[in-house]
Amino acid sequence: MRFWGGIDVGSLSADAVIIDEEGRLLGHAILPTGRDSREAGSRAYAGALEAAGLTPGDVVRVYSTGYSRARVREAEGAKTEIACHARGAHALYPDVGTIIDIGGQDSKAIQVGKGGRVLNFVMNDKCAAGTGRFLEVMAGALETPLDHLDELAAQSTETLTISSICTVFAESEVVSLISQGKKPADIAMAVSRAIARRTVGLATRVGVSGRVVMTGGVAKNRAVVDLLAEILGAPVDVPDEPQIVGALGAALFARDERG
Amino acid sequence: MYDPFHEVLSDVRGTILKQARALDRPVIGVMPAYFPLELVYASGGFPVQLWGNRLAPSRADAYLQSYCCSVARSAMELELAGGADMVRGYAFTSLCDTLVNLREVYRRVVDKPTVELSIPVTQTAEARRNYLSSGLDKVNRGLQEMAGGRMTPESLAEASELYGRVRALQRRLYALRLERAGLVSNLDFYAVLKAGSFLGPEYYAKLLSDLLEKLDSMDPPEDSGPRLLLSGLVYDPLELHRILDRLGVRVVQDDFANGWRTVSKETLAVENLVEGVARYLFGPAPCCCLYNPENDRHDYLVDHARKAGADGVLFWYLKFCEPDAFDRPQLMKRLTDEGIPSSVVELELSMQNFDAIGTRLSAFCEMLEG
Ligand SMILES: Nc1ncnc2c1ncn2[C@@H]1O[C@H](COP(=O)(O)OP(=O)(O)O)[C@@H](O)[C@H]1O
Ligand code: SF4
Repeated sequence: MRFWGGIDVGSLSADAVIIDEEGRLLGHAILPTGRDSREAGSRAYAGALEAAGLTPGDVVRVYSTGYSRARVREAEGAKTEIACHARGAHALYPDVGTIIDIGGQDSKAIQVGKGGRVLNFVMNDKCAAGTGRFLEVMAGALETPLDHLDELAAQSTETLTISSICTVFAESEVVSLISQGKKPADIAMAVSRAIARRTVGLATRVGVSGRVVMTGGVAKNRAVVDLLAEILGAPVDVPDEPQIVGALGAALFARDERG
Repeated sequence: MYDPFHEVLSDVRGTILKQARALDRPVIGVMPAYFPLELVYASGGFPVQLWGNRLAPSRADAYLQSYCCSVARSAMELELAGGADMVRGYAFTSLCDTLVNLREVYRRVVDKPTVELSIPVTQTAEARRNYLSSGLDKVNRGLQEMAGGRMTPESLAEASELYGRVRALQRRLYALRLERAGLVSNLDFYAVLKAGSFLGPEYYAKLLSDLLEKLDSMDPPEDSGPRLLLSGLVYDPLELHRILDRLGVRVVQDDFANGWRTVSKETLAVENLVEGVARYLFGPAPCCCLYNPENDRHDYLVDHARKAGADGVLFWYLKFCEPDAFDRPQLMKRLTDEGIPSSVVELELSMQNFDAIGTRLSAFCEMLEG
């Protein structure tokens, strides 16, 4: 058997996967990136190997992607997150037309054509608004763990609005809503809606068509995904593990390279 | 081979001072864009083109709104910080609202003379001439007062010949880049162009012809990355060309206001100066800042990209440049309709971190390479 690896070192998480000849996922790992992105990539890769029950010697080739793709020690090749998310999402959903990827510090909308080819893309990488970082700051202000934010939002009964786009100003809006005695559930919902609205703006710029798939860490937040589907007026699919789609794409590129 | 040009850029101030001394002419700062340098030179001045710099704004913020582009902002910063002390006066065109306002701010804040060449916004060539004939004399008088020389038919003819020669040489460099894509790196190419902003025309023409002579016998490397056409106001920041080089991108043509839009201009006809300046301003390349119903930017850009055999068009957008931003969505749509992929990067002259833009550019390249 031959195996291939993909390592996605983003600003917040380092994700790695191991696949086989058929592109089947054998193991993965997700770790915080921390200060040393090179180390984080290696650790994630070791984690994925362990999960797959393999050793580095079993792997034919590794590709990297993500913000720190050039710094990954194990990688023989690199591709951008855009190409890798498209490739990975296409492998999971062959009829995907639009990908929305919201990571830690950026968000992207990608239009995908046949074979997972990128037709067009837009990126927001200039501002934390509408990114995972935004959610983290708001979860902090609400003193709620990030992965509980959507459960909290599910209990919302009153519609509140966060009007600031800027993360810093939005945080003070949240703080002021808390001090006005507004329910945390309603605030959590308002925060999710703020992200969803920003994201729809991004997606509309690239044009939404075909099946919509959401990737990246923020896709783990059900509230954001549901709101996104509601505003777009189209269902939004989320892979079982949205955070490793980029790494999966990288592994597929590694597999497709001849030799 | 490119050292003389890079050296100019690593010491712009020293270069300008040295050139001004050698030419024995006062330095006149020429603001973007399309001010015929010939007029400045014929009035006895040494025109230096100021297309902004990498200074981070601080003092200029006291006078300019936050939605002012970094070209205008950094030019003013340079002046206020004392970096333009050798500039005796400024020549503006009414290129965009920002520059029109900037000149007004200069008139109040900066103790140096200025002139403004008003670019006509009219329907016909005749109306354009009428409009220019009323303002050109005043501009020329202002230039002569500033530079302290006299504009004569002879001085005009000399200036026209010199700058016409410079642009003709630059066009040869453009042609060479197109024919032998990859021969000149993107960084070197734009360094060569940019160096000309700070050099006397004769000296620069000599450097250019020496370079062209060397390049003539050289072959480009084997085919590599995608062929791009770049479109925007200003080809800075040069750092971005380094990234394009690293990605193996071969820029084969451009549509920059200080690139091809200026370089393509024919020798200024000086026998009938009004007619000559009118033709200089409006031909041959269209611009987002020039109103010319007879020269459609959409058709032009498609044609320009096709002729260059470009795989894609990259819009090089300087944040807050309104005229450029206004045209872009339609231009991009037209390119898409014509099957020419395009993308956009948003820039500021003083930017320091290019990581995110690097990702955007490589994703665009991956897209082009399919
Ligand atoms: N359970 C969760 N619920 C909501 N958001 C999450 C969850 N887990 C992670 N995230 C968000 O995902 C972001 C990281 O996403 P990821 O795609 O890994 O980013 P990157 O690739 O940029 O490092 C974090 O900023 C965080 O806000
Ligand atoms: S970049 Fe745009 S807004 Fe700025 S001076 Fe040039 S034309 Fe005017």
